[in-house]
Amino acid sequence: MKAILHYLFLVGIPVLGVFGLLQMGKGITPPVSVGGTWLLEITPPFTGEDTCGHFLSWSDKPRLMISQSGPHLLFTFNDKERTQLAGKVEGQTLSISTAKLNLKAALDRQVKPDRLRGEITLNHCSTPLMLTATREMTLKERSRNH
Amino acid sequence: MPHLTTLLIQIGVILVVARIIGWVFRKIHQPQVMGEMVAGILLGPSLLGWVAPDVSAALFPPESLGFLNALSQVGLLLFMFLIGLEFDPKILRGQGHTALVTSHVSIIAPFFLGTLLALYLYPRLSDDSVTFTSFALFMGIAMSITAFPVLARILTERNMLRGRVGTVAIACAAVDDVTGWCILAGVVLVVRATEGTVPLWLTLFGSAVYIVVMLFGVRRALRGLEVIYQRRGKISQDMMALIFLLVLASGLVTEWLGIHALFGAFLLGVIMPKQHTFVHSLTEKMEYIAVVLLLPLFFAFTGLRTSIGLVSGAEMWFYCGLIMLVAIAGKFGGSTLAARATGMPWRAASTIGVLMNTRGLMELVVLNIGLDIGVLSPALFTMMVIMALVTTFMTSPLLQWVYFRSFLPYELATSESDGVVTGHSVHL
Repeated sequence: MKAILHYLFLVGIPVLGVFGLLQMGKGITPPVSVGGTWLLEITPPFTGEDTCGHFLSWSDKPRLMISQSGPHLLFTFNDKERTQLAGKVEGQTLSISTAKLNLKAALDRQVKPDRLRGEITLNHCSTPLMLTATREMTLKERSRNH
Repeated sequence: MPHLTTLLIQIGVILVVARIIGWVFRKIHQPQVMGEMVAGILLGPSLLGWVAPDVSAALFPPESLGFLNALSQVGLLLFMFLIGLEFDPKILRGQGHTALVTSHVSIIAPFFLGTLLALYLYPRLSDDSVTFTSFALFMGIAMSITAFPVLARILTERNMLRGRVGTVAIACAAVDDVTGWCILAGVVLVVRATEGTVPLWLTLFGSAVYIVVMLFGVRRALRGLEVIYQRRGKISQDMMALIFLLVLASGLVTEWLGIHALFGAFLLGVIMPKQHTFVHSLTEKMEYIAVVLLLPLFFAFTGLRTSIGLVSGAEMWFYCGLIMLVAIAGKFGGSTLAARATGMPWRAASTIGVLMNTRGLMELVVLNIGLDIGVLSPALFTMMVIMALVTTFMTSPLLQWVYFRSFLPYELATSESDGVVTGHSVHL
């Protein structure tokens, strides 16, 4: 009898607690998902040979890999240098703010696949570049494929 | 470089680094496997990719990682079979109440705290592609794992399996293993069901049928292997081939059902005949391939997915510290309190707590599943890997302090008077 009481007290109560916590958490809203691989379109076409953006130059189709942990984002461009920049997501807006580059883009989930629309401003360059990105693969799909 | 050349070089480098670091860790009284886990991290972006990015890119080009992953998964499948094979219900004999209560509390206490922590971490380290239920359940189970093989190795090396604390700890870890993997199977099922990968009814019905067939059909048939072994005195190549086939088939069924191939391999191991020499012989044949050759590949693959650079800034390190605190409080605290509640003295109970807090490579297995099914974000995965390494590393020094300096003289005295000397051999 004592053993059963021990078990019920030490195991039963926390089990009920877990169910309570699962209910409590259902109302929490996490950041939107933007992780994964995005196909980039930059207008005017950006070659990286001009003085505006000498550090981003592509040999392949421009792609952006976003690694997401909550609102914290790590952007990896597939340029020759494989440039990595930290950024964040707030609401539906992604942003990077560094000395090299500023990026601001809005997420559009109404269209499928998801789109990003915004602009990139490079340092010492007065004209911003327009950016459109189409989601190729989510982070989940990427993990599974690996 | 052609893929085969790359793969062969990768395996060579991984083996060399794993053996060297493993040796260094043995010198500082840590289990070999702890060194191999650290070796994997060192080969990833956290060290090699950071100090020599060109070497890292040449050695582990992204397009080659699929091959490395496939090999490491086969190794893991064999390893999980060996873990199941190690499970012997005889361990529980005479430990029933203490082992069951301590083990289940050592699961539910960190599970509860992990779920509680999920309330805080979900909006900070996850996103809306993961439901709160999936995230919280996974945080719970990731906090609850105990590394049976590492624990068994520590107890064997320190000759603790002949005392009361050692036998209770090994029994608890065995119950933990089976319970933990069953819960994990359930969690994976819930996560995959929310994604609609496999219909829930099919997974539930299929899993029930599979378990019944395994426990009541395949288990009986497997006894024939033991009979043949006893008659011939050795495990033949044909028998080995049959066992490999059964591991693959069982893994295939559970993967197809949506609860991951590793559960199939584990369950097959659990239902294998437990005659001592048969288990010993089978383990010996398999462990050189699974443990010495393929498991370091799994650690390296885990290391390649772990980037300590993602845990940057005070905020991220605060989350990491919090995860560690919750993991230790749940596992060490829960096990200690439960062992004490079942009548063990405080010093013995805290020794059980220290031992159960060992997470080791089993935690890495769980975390990789979490990353694969998309429940864990890359930064959270890294934080949890750090937690697994820290909790495993701290076991040996804490054990030295709590058990050998404080409790051993007391246990020796009581063991002599009570006649508590039990023997359980650990093969892995």
